[in-house]
Amino acid sequence: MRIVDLPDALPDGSRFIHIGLPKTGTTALQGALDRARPELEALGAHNVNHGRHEMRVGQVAAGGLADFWEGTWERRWEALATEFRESDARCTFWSSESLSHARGERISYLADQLGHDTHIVVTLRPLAPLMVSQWQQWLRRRGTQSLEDWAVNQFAAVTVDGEVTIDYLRFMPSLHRFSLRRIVEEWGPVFGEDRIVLVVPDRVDRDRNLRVFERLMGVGEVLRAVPEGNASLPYPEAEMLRHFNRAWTDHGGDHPTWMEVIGVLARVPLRDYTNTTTPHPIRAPRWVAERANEYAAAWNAAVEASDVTVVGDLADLVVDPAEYAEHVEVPTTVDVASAGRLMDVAFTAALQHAAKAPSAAPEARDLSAYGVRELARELGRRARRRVTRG
Amino acid sequence: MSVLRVPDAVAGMNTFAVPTWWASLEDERVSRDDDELPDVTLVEVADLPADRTLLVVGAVAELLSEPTPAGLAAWVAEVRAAHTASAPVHLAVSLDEVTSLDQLLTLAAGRRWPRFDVASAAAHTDADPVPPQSVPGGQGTARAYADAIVAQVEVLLPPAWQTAVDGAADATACISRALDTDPDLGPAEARAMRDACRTALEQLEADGVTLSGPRDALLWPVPAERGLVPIDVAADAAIEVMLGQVERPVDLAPDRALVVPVEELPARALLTRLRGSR
Repeated sequence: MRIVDLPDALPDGSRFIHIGLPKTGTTALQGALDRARPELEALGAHNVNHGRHEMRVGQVAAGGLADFWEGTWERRWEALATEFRESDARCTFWSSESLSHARGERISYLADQLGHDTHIVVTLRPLAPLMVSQWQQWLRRRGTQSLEDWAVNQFAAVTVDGEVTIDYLRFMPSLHRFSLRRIVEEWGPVFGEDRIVLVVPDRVDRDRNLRVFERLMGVGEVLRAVPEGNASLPYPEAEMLRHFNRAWTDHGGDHPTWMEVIGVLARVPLRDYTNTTTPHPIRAPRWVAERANEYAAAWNAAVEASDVTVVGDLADLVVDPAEYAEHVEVPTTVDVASAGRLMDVAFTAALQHAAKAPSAAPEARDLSAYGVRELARELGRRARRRVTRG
Repeated sequence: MSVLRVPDAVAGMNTFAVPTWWASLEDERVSRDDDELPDVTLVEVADLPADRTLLVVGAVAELLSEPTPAGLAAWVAEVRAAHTASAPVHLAVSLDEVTSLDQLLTLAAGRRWPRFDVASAAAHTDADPVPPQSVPGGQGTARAYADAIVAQVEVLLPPAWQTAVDGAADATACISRALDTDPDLGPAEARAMRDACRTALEQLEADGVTLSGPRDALLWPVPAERGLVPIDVAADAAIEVMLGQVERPVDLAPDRALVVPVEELPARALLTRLRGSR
């Protein structure tokens, strides 16, 4: 293991992918990279993402796109991979936490598509708060278990030694996905351990990740923090979403409809709603922090025995359990106005979804409102436009 | 051809089903057979897959003789008494009084009433805000919900907006009926009663009774306390808001022509119209 305070710039012509982990400040980082795109391009650093983050493209690349999504992401992924692989920029990069879903042969496939000399950058966070964030994220995928029940299952699904005890098809258990030991063991042989950079967050400096990425790209301080954009739900609202999911599930509701309405159409309104709520941070109970530390310590040991580069102090990935309450009260009530706003979010998103359903759209258009002259004028206007274009 | 059995008004259910109402319909599909099935009106329905017994119910408070487990059990017993293998009960929740055979058959098909044009409703934008809704009772808690749901803008109401208004009214009504602003029961009793209602519905469904419409209306309302509402109650209301929209499109035949801006119409449609005008 090589430990650095800040990394050296990657050699000219280098490429790197940032594979998350999720909930490690990736949204803020991707926002900063997107906002500084012109400055970065001028300095020779090329971002292949369109916009902030192309999540579905990352999921396609990692082999983790759920069946119910439809779209042209496969084609976009091929184009992105070609652009990444053939870029002649001084430094080319792609940030997508979805890539951390990749495992086994899919990692080799990524190397074939992107280049085996690609560097792998992983941003990290102590596991205890990371699990809390992940639980919230899981609620936005129709999760129904309480934080503690969910944590029990997560710990049961993967042992401290890294053995996965459950069967899974597409999405590996969270503690397997987050395992630094797994990342080193699976990504290292394909890309080379010496090309893996693990970034431990600074306990105080929230902009530290920005500085690390500037150093990797070999540019000055051009990245500016942007608003987070995906703030965490306060605990009462998170619990309300969980009960909402459970009610939907108990009703026999299907997953694709839920994902379309709440996961997609309500995503931005839900984010805006979150930004207006009264903060009520969710804290894991002490036993979760203690168990998470056991995993973090085991993973750190695997990292120490490897040839990866660690930016920062691995010890910062272990939390002090004394800072975590032995028992955390789960809220059972929510502010009426806040509940009303969530209803508004659900109402508006469901309305949009319903309006898109084929049976909702009247098939017959009423053209009787337009006179012959108006129709002819419109056709003429289109004909002129076509001629002008030609 | 299947037969819809509609028992006469009983225990707060089928309150519309009185002889004068049936007589006013003057519809040949409606009949009685007091020898075979006393106190039941029969309606022949072409697209009903099998015979059914229809019980149209409103909010739970209107159904129970008293807000106690015993009152709930008595109502459940009434439902079970009507439930037979040859004509299982379909419990259709409707918060609107049944006034027409069309409405009755819509409810019997598991659909919602009134019809709701989601396409028009979705077309309303922030620039065209929905006017504020009146909340039954007007109490502070429900009002807080209403204020949170709809924009407080006074506007004239073009007819095209009516469906959007209906939708917002739906959302408002969901929480209005979940929160008891004039409670007969204390918070703990109301919660227990709500849980008992939920269990009773699950048991009825397990017995083969089908349920349609805003089923949250069959859960006993609870009082809000100091501006806070139980989370599961809020979730029940939110899910009903969502289902109220998601379940509607399949219910709707287009009952209104859609006027599309001319510049958005495909050229073929314009040409077809021009040919037809000659």
